[in-house]
Amino acid sequence: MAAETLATPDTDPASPAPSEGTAAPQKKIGETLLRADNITLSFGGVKALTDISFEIREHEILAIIGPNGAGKTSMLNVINGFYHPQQGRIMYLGAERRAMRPHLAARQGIARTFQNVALFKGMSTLDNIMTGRVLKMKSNIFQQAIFWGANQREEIAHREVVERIIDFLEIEAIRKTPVGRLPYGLQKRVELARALAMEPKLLLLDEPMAGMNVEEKEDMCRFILDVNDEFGTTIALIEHDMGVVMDISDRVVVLDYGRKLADGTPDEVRANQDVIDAYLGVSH
Amino acid sequence: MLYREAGQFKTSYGADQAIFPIRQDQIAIALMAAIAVLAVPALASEYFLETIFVPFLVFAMAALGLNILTGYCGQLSLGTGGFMACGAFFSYKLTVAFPELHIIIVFLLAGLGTAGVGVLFGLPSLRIKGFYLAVATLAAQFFLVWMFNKFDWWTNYSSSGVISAPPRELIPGIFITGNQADPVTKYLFLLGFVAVLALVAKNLVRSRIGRTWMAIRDMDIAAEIIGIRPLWAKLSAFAVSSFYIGISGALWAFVYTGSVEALAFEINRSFQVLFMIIIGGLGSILGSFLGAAFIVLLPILLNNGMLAIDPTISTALVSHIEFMIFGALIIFFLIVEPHGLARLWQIAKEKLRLWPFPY
Amino acid sequence: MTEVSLPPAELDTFPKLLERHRAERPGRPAIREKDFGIWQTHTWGQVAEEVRNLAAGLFSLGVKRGDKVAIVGDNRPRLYWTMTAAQAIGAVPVPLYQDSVAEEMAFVVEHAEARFAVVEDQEQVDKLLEIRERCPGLTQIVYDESRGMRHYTQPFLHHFDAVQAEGQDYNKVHPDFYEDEIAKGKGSDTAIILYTSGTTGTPKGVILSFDNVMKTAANGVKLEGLTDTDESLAYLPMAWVGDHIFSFAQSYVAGFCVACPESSETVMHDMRELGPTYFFAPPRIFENILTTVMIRMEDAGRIKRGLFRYFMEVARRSGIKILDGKPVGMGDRLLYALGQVLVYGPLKNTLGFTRIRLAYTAGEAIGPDIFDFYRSLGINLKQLYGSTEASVFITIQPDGEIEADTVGKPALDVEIKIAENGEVMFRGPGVFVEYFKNPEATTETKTPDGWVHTGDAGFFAENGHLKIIDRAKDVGRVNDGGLFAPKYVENKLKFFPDIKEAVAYGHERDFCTAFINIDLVAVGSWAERNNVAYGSYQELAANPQVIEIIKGHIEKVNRDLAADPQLASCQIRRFLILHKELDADDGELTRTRKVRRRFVADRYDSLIEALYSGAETAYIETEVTFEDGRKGTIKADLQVIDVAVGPGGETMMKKAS
Repeated sequence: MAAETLATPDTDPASPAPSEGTAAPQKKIGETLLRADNITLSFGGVKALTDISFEIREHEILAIIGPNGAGKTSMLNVINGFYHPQQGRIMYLGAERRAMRPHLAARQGIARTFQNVALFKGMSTLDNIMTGRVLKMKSNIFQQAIFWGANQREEIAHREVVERIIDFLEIEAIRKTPVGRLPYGLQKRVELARALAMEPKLLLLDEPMAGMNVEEKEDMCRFILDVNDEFGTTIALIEHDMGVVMDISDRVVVLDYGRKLADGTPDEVRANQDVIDAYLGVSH
Repeated sequence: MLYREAGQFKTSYGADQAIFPIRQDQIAIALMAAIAVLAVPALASEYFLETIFVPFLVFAMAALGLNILTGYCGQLSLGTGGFMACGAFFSYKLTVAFPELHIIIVFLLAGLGTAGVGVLFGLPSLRIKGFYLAVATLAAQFFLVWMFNKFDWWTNYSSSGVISAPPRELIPGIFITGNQADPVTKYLFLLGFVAVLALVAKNLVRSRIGRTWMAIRDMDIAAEIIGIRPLWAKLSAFAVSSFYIGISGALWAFVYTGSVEALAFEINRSFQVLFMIIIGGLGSILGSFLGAAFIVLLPILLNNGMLAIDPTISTALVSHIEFMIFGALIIFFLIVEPHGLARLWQIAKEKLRLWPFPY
Repeated sequence: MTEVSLPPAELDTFPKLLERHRAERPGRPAIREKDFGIWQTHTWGQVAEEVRNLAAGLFSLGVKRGDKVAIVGDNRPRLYWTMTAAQAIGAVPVPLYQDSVAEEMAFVVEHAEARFAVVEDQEQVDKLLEIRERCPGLTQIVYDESRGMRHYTQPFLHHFDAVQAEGQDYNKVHPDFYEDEIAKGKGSDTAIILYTSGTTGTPKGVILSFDNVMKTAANGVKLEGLTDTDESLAYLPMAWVGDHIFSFAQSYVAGFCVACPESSETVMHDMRELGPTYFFAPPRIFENILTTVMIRMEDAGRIKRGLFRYFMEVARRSGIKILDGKPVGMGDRLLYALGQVLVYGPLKNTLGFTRIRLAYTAGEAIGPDIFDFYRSLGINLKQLYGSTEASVFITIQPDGEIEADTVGKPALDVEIKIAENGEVMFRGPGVFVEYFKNPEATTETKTPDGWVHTGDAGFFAENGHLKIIDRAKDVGRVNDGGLFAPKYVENKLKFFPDIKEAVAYGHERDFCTAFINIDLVAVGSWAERNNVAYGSYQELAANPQVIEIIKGHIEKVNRDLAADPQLASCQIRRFLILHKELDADDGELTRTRKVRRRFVADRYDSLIEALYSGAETAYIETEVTFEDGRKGTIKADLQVIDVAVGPGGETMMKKAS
């Protein structure tokens, strides 16, 4: 009889419980997911990136920091396939790729958000996130033309997935609102939702917290950590807020004038003299 | 005001995704269907059917097609007339060569053929956009009309350069083309045919393929990063759009006018259909119908209106005034509501749903 | 069409009733929840199965007959199922208010000796973890929402699904367990312990038996003709007896469906979608809705506003009479019908009231204007009077005899008498068993022959309806012997949309005075329309124009009071407007938003001094608690205003000067 119970007998009811009881387990960071080797990118005569090499490991959160114009967004664009470097190569999932279109990067599991929010302004939040599911939809054009039957079942199944994401990012209340009407902070969250809908292996976030107030930043940090924790998604983000960077990232890459200054854990980077001179100023 | 949505709550995603989720809308549609199927054929004169309802349905088909390409996918096209010509001539050649082939199959095959042509002329869209793409589609327009005009093979070497639709039956005994077809039959056939294809268009537009079109239209960079292949999306839009436009051309030749020459599908036709979707509403199935109705009805109303005011008015003057008012109305609508009649309708509906509150 | 059918007498507990529903209406909706964008519906058959598994699961967890199970969270189907599941195995559910702070929870959990808790989400789990040391009896905690719970490794935390799965396995091995357990229950067993929110003193645990709850619920169902096709919205706290009767007991008795909104923010939106047929709201909510309607109409175009005004006049003339079935002329009827299409129908639709057959309100007096507004639209709004100790229903207004200032006639099987000191007493099937572990309070409240002291002063009007004046102990006397009924005065003041809260003083004083809280929404809207700038609530409350407006309201109330010689001495001589809203987080209001009179009097005693000393201004410094628990201080200099009084009040003035 007692063997069936779920309760593990609490030996001493008076023993003080651990204050929070939340033991965050050590995160297991995997092998290299993506490696950039000697990337050089120029536009006309301007060199945006010079000989950049670094790697992103599976399940980690990597922050890319540096002053404005350092080439951070260009670096993401190279990973994403928007820009093709003149020299250097990218190794992703063990295979080399050089020239790649963004939609091929998406098919390989790389999702991206933009500084200026690249949402489909005419559509509602729900429709925007549903567009993130197009790669996963399999119906052919005839099934779609008829709609009832296979296509409707698929639409409903994907709607369920999208609703889970909406619940996860707490945007239920704006589900049917056209995104053009939403405040900036919520638009960024919707964009994140759309990226998550792709079930990516690698998530590239370009200044996800730009223009947010303290509360919104906290929420966004929590969501990013939750995504990394619950789904194991590898995240590379460009961020200016040093507090956020120190808080949530596992490793940091510092760029300046298109060159890599430093690369290491947040503490290592913070103490690095070159970084302090170029970017951080007096270390705090 | 007429909406009573309290109590209409959705317990499944299927219900939430329905085309007409609100009961009052469902009633309205049912009513309209009843009027269209029962009242119109009973009450409207043959003249009305022939000059208003039949061309309205044919144009609605063309507008649907162009709306898919320009309204939903954002690819500006001025080749509509040329594609209509494709549909007309392909179906003529097909039905003359295979008279036993059922006419609906002929129309569908002609549509497929036009889709192929559309894909061909849509290839430049990967490289060029907007205004430049429009110019490229003009090439399609001029080339196609020239081709159908120049090569007598298309008209079966007829001396007049005109193709006449041979009589064809829908089911044995009921003719929908040729002299034996009566207006009521033609109207009902078109109503059914266009309704089914409009439903198909609505289904496509709310499925994956429709989303890829709209994503390309709204922000093609963002569309790429979620995995949409721009060339595929655009070409599929050209294909589906040309399918519809081709069928509308075939219907024009076979059901509406009965006989047609290539010049009927000149550049003016392209502009006419483009105006329909601009006034009706880009990116809206309803808008295609509203725009077609507007453009078909307006000249007739103006004509009859002016004749009613002054029966002695000269036809030349009537036609001049028609143009002026027509142009003025287009400008007026574009100023008042650039998103077209469909948007005006949407706003009116929202206000009715919120009545008596302003927001 | 379904008829009202009451359950037979042998189904004397909720679990037994549930089994009856499983047999008779397994496919009909029992409870809904808006989740993930749609209304997820559970039928009676499904609910019965869920409860069966949950009951076995709780048993496996160690819940024994007589154990108390604390339940904390928003209105969620799973928490309602926990109540039935606990009852099935002879345990007692003890719901807590979901927005209680840790100390409040600690008191109840400890006093009730709750050994188990079933809660909604991480927020509630965290609170319980905080108080766990003070409640050593609390052994197992079950939670439903797993969001944020990934790293909680305590062995005594269990996920709801796991408990149910365990129960399902147990049921397979012991298939008769559930039926056997249910059979052991009987009507006189404790069904639930509800802790009163305690306007005075510490909360008391009211023990209600199945008979108490089921009989009063059934009487209510019978009186109003509720059937299993009705739909209601469950949005009021589960710890409140009203929710337990309206959203749980009556749903079981009549078989109707209860709907839980997505979250507390979306209640009005979800109500609009749902269109319930049976609705309860405290007068405050009806007030707020009316205020927002008026404010939104202010912004409408001229045609709409004109139409609205015209047809609301028509409604005022004829609507209530039509609702009550009284004679109305043909022309007026046609006009009203036109109004239905143009104004009332759409208005009710946007509020979600289209399908309402019955709406109750209770808890405090409702302004006659507000009451009439809803009734004139054709919404059958009625007042009732009740308490936790009565299992809600003491009096209900019968259809056709509805007025704003009465609470109606005694409910079915309820007797009422008025004691010599004017206190209302009642007796009936819903009278509570006793207060848990508090025999003194029980004997104080309940006489040996079953009469309960309500603590309210009231009298029967000529039409047989009961009228409540005030809390019996609050009815006082001013120094010349005249009656002072603070609640009565405050209610009259709060009927004005500008006044959100009022606290009146006058017992054993020379005359009456009042604290006023302005309503930020209504006064803010006025300020916007009249280009009055303000930077904060405090600034708006001190604005001289606002003070003038409030003074005008008080003068009107004085005129009304002066008209009734018995109440003339309640007229207000002086008042001030408080610099901040009275708040439950600061302890000034209860969780059900009633004013804690004594606490407020203590806290603001310097202001009361100023009111009676004849001073022109009063200084106050108060400590406030912000929503996240931090504390701060607010200082203010408040103006004290004199008001004119009518006959009866003048004698007071003479004495004062």
